[in-house]
This record gives sequence, C-alpha cells and structure tokens, in this order.
Amino acid sequence: MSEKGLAIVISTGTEEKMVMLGVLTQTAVNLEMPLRIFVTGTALKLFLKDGYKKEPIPPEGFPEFMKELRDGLARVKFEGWHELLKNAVKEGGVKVYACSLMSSALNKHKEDFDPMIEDIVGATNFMIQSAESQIIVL
Amino acid sequence: MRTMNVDSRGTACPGPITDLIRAYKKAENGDIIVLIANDPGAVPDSKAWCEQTKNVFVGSKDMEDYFEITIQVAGKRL
Repeated sequence: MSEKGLAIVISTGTEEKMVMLGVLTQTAVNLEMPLRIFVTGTALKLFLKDGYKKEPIPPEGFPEFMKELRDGLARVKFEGWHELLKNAVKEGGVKVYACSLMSSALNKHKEDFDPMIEDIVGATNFMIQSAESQIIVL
Repeated sequence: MRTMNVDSRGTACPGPITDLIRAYKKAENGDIIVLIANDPGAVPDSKAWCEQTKNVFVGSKDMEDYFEITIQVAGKRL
C-alpha cells in the first residue's frame, strides 16, 4: 500500500499519550505503513521489562477525566497500548527503538528493555531511518 | 462472490477498521463485506481506506444504534 512510512517519537509516557501511540500503531499496521517508534524521555520507563505493568501515569490536572476515560476505554474494549504494540511488532513492519542518550543516562542496556525493543539507537540513526517518513511527536 | 458480515459493535477506533481488514485478508475480489459498527469514525475511516486501497465503498446506512457499511472487495492484487 503506501510506500511512505511513519515515525513516532514518544517522549512523555502519560496514559493518554500511550493510548494514542497504541491507536496510531494499529492504524499503521492496518494501512501497511512501515512504522518506526523512537522511545525517549519519561516514556522510556514504560518500555523497560514489565514497565507496562506498573501504574499508568495520568496527565497532571485531569484525575477525574482520566478515570472517566479509563472506564470508557474498557467499555469500548480498547486492548491496551502494550498489547497493540506487541502484536504490531510481531506482525512486522513496526520497529521500536530506545533512545541511546536516555538509556546511557539511566544505565540501561538492551536486556533491561521489553522484548519489543529492537535496539538502542541514537538520534542520528533514527533520523536517517526516518528521513523519508512523516514524523509525529507525542 | 460471497458476503462476509463483520460485527464491530462495541469497539472503537481503530477496532472497526482492524476487523474490516481482518475480513478483507480472507476475501477475494468481488466479495462483499458488510461491517456494522457504532463508532462514529467507522464510516469516514472505511471510505478513506477504500479510496486508499482501491476497494469500492458501496455505501453506508445510519441504523440509529449503529452504522451498516458495505464494501465491495476490488483491491486484491491478482
């Protein structure tokens, strides 16, 4: 289908952004668009081994809204961002990379990350790989 | 030619399109897929997907509680 790829930079791992990441990832799979995800900032901790099992990080100032949203997402059978990403990676076409700066700063290595992380890469690698892609920053 | 019915009621974006594409993968050119969904994005998303993939958006009906979307498969590479 589309020859043009998509790249997503996820830097803030708050709950509503992770939902969006899951939705965009599944949509890219549906449209057979190659997708690269670059994980950095506070989102990185969610991609450590079992990081997704920890309490979600609600965006500050929206506690009631987030409760309502969480209930609503359960009602519409939202699968959860981790499940969507894991399946997308398995199906192919989606690669997830961890930021090397943040990984070094936190002393994290490849084996510390969720198995869906393809590799730890620097911004140069990511930008070169994504040069022909549309880039979305979450 | 066969008709495939896909019930995505109760799911939301991108659930209906994901279900539609799962059915599409099993379909052949000429088949009809009838998708029913209550997510408000299902109709415009299905239309856009048909345009993108060269399938035929036959039409949609608003059934009050849900939308019935009919697609004819035409975009399969032979």
